[in-house]
Order: sequence, then structure tokens, then C-alpha cells
Amino acid sequence: MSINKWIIIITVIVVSFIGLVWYFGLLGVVTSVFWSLLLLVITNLDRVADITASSYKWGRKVNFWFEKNAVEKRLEVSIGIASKKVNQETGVDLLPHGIDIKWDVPQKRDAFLERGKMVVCLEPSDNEERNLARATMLYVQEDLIAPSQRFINTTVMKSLCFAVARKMLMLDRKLHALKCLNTEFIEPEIEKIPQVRQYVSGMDNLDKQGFLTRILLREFSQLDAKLSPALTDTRSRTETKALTRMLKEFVEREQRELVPLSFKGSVFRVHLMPVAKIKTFDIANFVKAASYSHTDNIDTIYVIARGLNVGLAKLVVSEIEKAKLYLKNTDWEYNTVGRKKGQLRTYIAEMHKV
Amino acid sequence: MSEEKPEILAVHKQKLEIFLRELELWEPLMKGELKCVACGKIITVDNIGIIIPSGENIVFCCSNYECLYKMRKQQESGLQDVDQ
Repeated sequence: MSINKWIIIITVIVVSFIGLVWYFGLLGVVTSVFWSLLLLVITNLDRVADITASSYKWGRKVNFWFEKNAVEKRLEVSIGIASKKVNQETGVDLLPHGIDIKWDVPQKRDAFLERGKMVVCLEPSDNEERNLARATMLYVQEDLIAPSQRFINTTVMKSLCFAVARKMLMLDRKLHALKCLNTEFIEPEIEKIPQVRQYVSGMDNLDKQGFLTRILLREFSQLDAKLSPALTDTRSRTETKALTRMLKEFVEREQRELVPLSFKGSVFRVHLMPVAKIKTFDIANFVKAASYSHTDNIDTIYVIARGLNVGLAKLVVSEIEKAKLYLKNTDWEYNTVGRKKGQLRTYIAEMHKV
Repeated sequence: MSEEKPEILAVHKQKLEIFLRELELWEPLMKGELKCVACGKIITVDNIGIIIPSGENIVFCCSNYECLYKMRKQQESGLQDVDQ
């Protein structure tokens, strides 16, 4: 929750406490305590769910019901909260579903076969890191831009699942589970396919700049709409690989290093437009670049800026719109960690061809 | 986020023995007779990942990522050809 929201909540609590005590006296103190608790619960539902999930562990020695709930709720709540955070970054449901764990009861062989549903084995709650790492990985594999997965290169998709699972565990601050994910899932895969290391580290770097969900995953999530009802597509499998590499090169470039900014494929036609004032700033150059992209049939332009350049980027977006070349579909402003300057305000505007 | 959540059937490791005894598979597990349907590795209590009904058989998948990934892909295209 943001600092502003906390300031509002604390102000409401203090003001209502003073008001209730002044009006009702001792009864007002009691009412105020309940009111404050209620307010804190309503405004922190995720945190309350997290505490509740952890609280089941206290009773696990007393009754197996607590143990089962400790395992079940930890997975449901942690995955639910983290996937919500990932979706909130872009405003698109990249991970549209939560998970719902149901404990299976022992049954005879025939009944089990007749039902035909597979059953996952879960570790006890004192090994929740392993459970969480495994469940997050399986969940991401299943749910991440599910309809578009068949159009994405297999190694890229595997790496994406690893990168998003890592992101979810980091967002949830589950560092032991993250360690478990790295050793149990990612490292063995890297041994088999060394390329996975490059992709996952590249995707981690993309995520540090906020491009993983806002550019790469958003582009990939549209594949189903673009290519359906095809079962798969060779071009898209090749281009998903190339687009990932281009974005990786872009975020890993050295200062002043020239890297490709346009991707002119048959499935993706994307232009990255970083806005920065080096010595002079001429907005006409950006409009001209947008005009070239328009002529080249580029579908989407991403206007990108950091720090003091964010204002300039917004100006560039409005000038491109005025020239009736591209229209802003959506934009995001968020904090990233800069190479030298600590926290930096970062801006991305997604513009679609008119 | 969509309200619809896929249901995952699970068995707790502490109840695995009862669960597998009902399926008449506890003894084979203890004897090391069960193998991962994807990689062929011997299934143990430590590495058991998924229990899968497949036709008239019950097969197992270990907790290795590659195997879980393969199983998921196979599940998408139907489990008919998965056999021990």
C-alpha cells in the first residue's frame, strides 16, 4: 500500500478517535478501537489473508486440519497476491486466474481411474518454500498468457515462466522459495539448455526497467488474437525469440551504444522511441521518426523516458498524436532503479498506428 | 483477475501412504517399482510429483521441472498415449 493511503487511514483513525472520545467518552474509546481495526482490515485484505494463512501453522501440531490449511492457504494466498500485483502493473490480465487447492480423499483404484483427474503431491507446511516454488512454477506455466503460449518459441516461453515465477516470489518477498526455484527448477534447466540463462537474466533486466510486463508480455499476449485459429506459427516462434533479444539488447546497452530500435517482422512491428535530452532537444526529430515508422507500417511505438526526460516524452507523445500518426493507447509511470542515480521515475507510452 | 479459479486436486505427503494404499500402489512404491512416466527415474516418497490416471493404469511423474512440463503438454493433447 502506498504512503499516501497510510497517511489517509491514520488521519481517519486519529480524527475518528478524537471525535468518538469527545462525544461518547469511555464508550467512544471502545468504539474507536473496533472502528480502527475494521478500517485496517478492510483496507489491507491481502495482508490479513497473508497473516491468516500463516496463523494456521501455529495449530499444526494440534490437529491435521490446521496443517492442511497451512499448506493450502499459503499457496492460494501467496499466488493470488503476487499474480494480482503482476496484473496491476499492466492493467491486463496476464495471469487471469488464481488457484484453488482441493484435498483429495483416498479412494479405490477404479473410482480414481473413472474420475480421471490428476493429483499433485504437496509437502508439509514446514517445507512451504519448496511447495511455493513448485506451485508458483506450475501455476505460471499454466496461466501466463495461456492462449498465446502456443505461438511462442519453447525456450523463450520456458524462460518467461521462470522469469515471471521469480518476479512473483520476489514481489511476495519469498526469498527462500526463490532460492528453491533457482536450485530445483532453473539451474537443472540451464544445464540442459544453456540459452535459458541468457534469456532469464535478460528478462530480469527487462523487468528492472519495467519492460517485461508492459512491453514483452503485452506484445506476446496479443498473439492469440492476431494468429488464431492457427494451432501454431513458425514465423511467430522465430519472431518471439528475435523480439526478446532486441529488447534485451536495448536494456543491456552501454551509454551511447547504438542498438536496433525497430522490429519489422510479419507478426510484430514495433518501434522503441527512447526520449532523452543529451545536448539539444528537437521534438521535430521524434515526430519525423514516428512518420518513418508510419510509412514502414509499424503498428506500435513505445515512447520511453526516465528521470527528467519523462516530461519531454509526454510532449513527444502529444506531438505525435497531433500529427495524427499514432494514438496513445495507454501509458505507465513508475519507479525503477537507475544505474547511478538510485530511484528514477520511468515512463512508457504505448501508441498505436492511426 | 477472473473469479474462475482452476481446481487443483492435491494430496498431503503425510497422507500419501493411506492414499496410495487405497490405490494399491504403496507396496510398489516402497519396492521402487514405480517409474516417472516422463524421465524413467524411480519414484520415491521424496520425488513424487503427480499421480495421473491414464486409461486403465495409474502413472506417476517426478517433481523434476522438465517432467512436469512434459506432463502438462501431454495433458493438453490428451493422456491416451501416456503409459508406463
